Amino acid sequence: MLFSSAEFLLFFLPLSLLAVSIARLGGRRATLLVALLFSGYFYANFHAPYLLLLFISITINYFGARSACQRRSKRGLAALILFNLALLATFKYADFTTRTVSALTNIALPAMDVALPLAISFFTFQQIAYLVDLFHNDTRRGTYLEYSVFVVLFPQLIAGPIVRHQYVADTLHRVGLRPTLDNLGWGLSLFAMGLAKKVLLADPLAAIADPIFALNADGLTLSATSAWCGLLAYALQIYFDFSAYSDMAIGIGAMLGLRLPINFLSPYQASGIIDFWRRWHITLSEFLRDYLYVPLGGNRRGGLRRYANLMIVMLLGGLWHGADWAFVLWGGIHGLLLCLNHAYRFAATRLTGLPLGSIATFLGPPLTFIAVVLAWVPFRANGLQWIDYYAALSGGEWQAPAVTDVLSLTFGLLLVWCCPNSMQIFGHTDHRHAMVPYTGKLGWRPSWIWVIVSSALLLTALVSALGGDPNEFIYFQF
Amino acid sequence: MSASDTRQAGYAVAMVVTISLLLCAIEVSIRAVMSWDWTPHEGDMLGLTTSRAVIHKTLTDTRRNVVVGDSHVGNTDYLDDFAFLGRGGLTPFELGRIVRARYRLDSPGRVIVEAGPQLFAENRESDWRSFVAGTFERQHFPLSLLFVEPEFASALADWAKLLGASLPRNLVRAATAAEPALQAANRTFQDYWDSRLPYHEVLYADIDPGVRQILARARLAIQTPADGAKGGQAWGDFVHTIDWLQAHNAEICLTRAPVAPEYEAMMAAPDAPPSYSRQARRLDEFARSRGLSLHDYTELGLGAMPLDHYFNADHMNGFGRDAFWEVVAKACFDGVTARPLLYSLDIPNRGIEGGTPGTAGPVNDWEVRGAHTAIRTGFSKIVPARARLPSASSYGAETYSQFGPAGWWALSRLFRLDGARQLEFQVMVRPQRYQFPRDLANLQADRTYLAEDDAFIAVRFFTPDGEEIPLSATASYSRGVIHQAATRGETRHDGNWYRLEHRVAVPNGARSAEVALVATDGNDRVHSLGLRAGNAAILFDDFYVRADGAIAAIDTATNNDAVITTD
Repeated sequence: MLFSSAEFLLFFLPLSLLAVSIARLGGRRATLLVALLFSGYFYANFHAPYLLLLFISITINYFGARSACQRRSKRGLAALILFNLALLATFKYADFTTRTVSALTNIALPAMDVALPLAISFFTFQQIAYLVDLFHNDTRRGTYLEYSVFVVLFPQLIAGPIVRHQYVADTLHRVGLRPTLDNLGWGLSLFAMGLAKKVLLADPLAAIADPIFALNADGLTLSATSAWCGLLAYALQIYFDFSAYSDMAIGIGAMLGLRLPINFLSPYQASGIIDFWRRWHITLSEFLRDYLYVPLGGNRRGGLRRYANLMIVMLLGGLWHGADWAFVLWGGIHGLLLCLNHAYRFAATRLTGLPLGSIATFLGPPLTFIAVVLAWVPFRANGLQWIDYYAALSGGEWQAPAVTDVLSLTFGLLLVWCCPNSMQIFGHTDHRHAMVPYTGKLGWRPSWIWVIVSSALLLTALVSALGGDPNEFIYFQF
Repeated sequence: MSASDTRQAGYAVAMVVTISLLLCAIEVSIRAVMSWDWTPHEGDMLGLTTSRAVIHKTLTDTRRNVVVGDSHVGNTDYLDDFAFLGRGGLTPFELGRIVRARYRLDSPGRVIVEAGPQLFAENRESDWRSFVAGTFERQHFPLSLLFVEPEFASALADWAKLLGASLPRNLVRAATAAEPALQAANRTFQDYWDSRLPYHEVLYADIDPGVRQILARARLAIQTPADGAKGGQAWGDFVHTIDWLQAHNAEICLTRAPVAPEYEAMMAAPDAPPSYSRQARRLDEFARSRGLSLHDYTELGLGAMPLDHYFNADHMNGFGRDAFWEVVAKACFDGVTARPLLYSLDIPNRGIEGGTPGTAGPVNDWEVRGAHTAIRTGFSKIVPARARLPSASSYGAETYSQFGPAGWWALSRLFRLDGARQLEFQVMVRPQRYQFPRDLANLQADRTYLAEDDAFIAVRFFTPDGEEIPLSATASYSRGVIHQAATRGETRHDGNWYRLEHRVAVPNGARSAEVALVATDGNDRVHSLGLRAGNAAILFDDFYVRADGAIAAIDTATNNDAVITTD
């Protein structure tokens, strides 16, 4: 049941909001219990047997964390983290490991053929963060019910944002869920914008990218024109797709009375790769920074160690996305780019008197965009087909592109380069981002104009969603 | 509550009210269009398809008595106080969905259920086939809503897409098109049908008996019940539906509609597939076990239905239906009256309907009599840059593993490869099906149609000696074609027009390439005589070829009498 499916839009969302609203009569716990039931159904709708796995994981983490924290046992904490990683390794990386070992040793190992539990990457990270935060007293423990809701609450369960317990712990503990009319307007408007982004922007762009990458997957030679069109279309698609999901998640969270963290802030306007990772999948970047990069030593142990740490973090970050060496390569490219960016920054500030900062201001955004777009190739291409794809990009024949494709891409690029992002338009701030509020005319306000705009967006997207099978969100596979 | 909160609450209420009002407006508009526009016109906002007509009738008709089945039932009412909810080619699963959707809000009355053997054919062993997947599945509201049905929402979505990333391409297409494709198709097809009227001079009865044998055998081939001791999914779905109706106190009557004598004889022949007799026994036993009456047309005292009551081997025309349903109704229930013989009063439309004695159905005539040449010429004048390709079977087309002879191609061109290493082809495709006007739609463009391997671009390569390069040498290409035909992976749809695209790398040693726009057709026996038994067509438009190097068109060697036009 996708956010953009008819079942979700017509039945699940209205019914869940209504049910939680009614449950408010029964108090805070009742709202949490109802939300938990709906979220369980939401997850089971994808693959019911793994609902049990999810709750086993929740139960072990919650009670294990209580025990480890009470005894201040680092070993207990480590064991729990290992448990989570083992779960991830079993279900997500077992096949990858056997394939790799088979390839390296030439020994045919049997495939594990384990179905990937939906959202396992997300709920695993979320729970690891909880364990660490609780151990360091950065968050409250909460009740089992609160903790379960924190993990499985349907807006953020499948593809994030990766929510830290401390962000929502107070709300869940003191207020519970609070779907009120004053929450509904803002949340519904943001949800409408997310849905429109998904249905009207991301899915049509997939219609340009998918056939081209399919040809690449079939081993056919692409022209440079096709390769660039496909790559740009995919770069736009993945941004609109994932940020749309985040918008919808934040919107639904708001409708339920929860403030979920920002996940995207116009990443394609970034001035450098460092800046890019502060704008793209922000909750993942922050997780990797706080729970991997910093414990590894961060930048506290000298320059070389910092670069090594960056590479480790990004390689693992790549692997987190999928059990394939192509994702590792993607992470490696970004790690390398981050190292270069840090080195450049160091050189600009310390070593030379050249106006490198000014140069970066002008060249940074386009260079960053090109680098990020090029890095999407192994992320999207099948297996080793990224080699052919890069060959087509650099050495393929140039043909006149289809005007219609060029116009669609230009339209998308103008949106990501020149328009404020949805968080700015809706003035969303969270615990971490003291955003400069957007003051332009496009800013959301509870006015009649926005009633009409939001209603039109929602209706248009709704009709599109009702009219066909929606494309799955790209990040569902991770 | 603060002033800000109050303002926000007001905003939320205004938004919910606005959306609700807009949805109501959409629902009312759809109902109005469906109520006023019984004559289908391509290019209308919704266009009227048989699917939409049946869905609309199922969800809005309040008569508690219904007749359900496939095209043998149709959706024209032949009995007073009975709603005919038949849909061509439907599966028993879909039949069950129609029944449940119809009686979701009230209780069943009298229900006549068609129980012909073709309902249990292999190609009915699935869930969705005639309707878009998900049809009737969203009806959980206190009243039936049409806009939530995928069939209607998809029509609206085509408009909604104008606002998305497709906006620029739509604008360019609109600005550069010589005339809007939809309107062009509409006008020309209307003209086309008008132009066909003078050629309706053939009765099914007048077709050469040998040809009728072939036509009947072709129908039989795709309608043979799936073999299996216990019946397959289709049988299970059928039983489930009858049980559901009985549990809801419906008065049920089962019937089997007439088929032409050739068809009947083939079913009874010693070499007939045994599943026919097995299915008949199974139905008899089932009806007995449930205490239901089962009226086979052969037992209704109709005698041998005259040949001029048939439209084709297994469909009656209007006269046949008038006669048949009246008898069935009287056999099933007391006090049912048939409607008057509408066909005899409907002279102006008789040609299109293929109804009255002395005329023929709209499908099998012109090919048989050779009138097609004149029609084709006329059509070509009307639509100079468009090709129409009749296809023998609208459903059940086989997956293609070879090119050419098994399908009809609308356009075939040979190119000399003077350095091109990659070719790219594109064509706009629009599937069409023709139904009876009395079934409320004579023109249909179902979204589901193209997913059934109906049209694709086929390319073959040849060496300088003219030898075809075998598929093994162009494996990736072969895979691409099958992929293209079988899925929408490379098929983008834009409204009711689909864009087929195909890109292919030129294999080593290739000197020439032949490209053909192919419509699939699973009926080889009919093809062997150059006949078409079905009632479908594929419309191709805007064909172009692009290459990364030089190519030159060679004088075409199409020798294809289905070619109507050129690029």
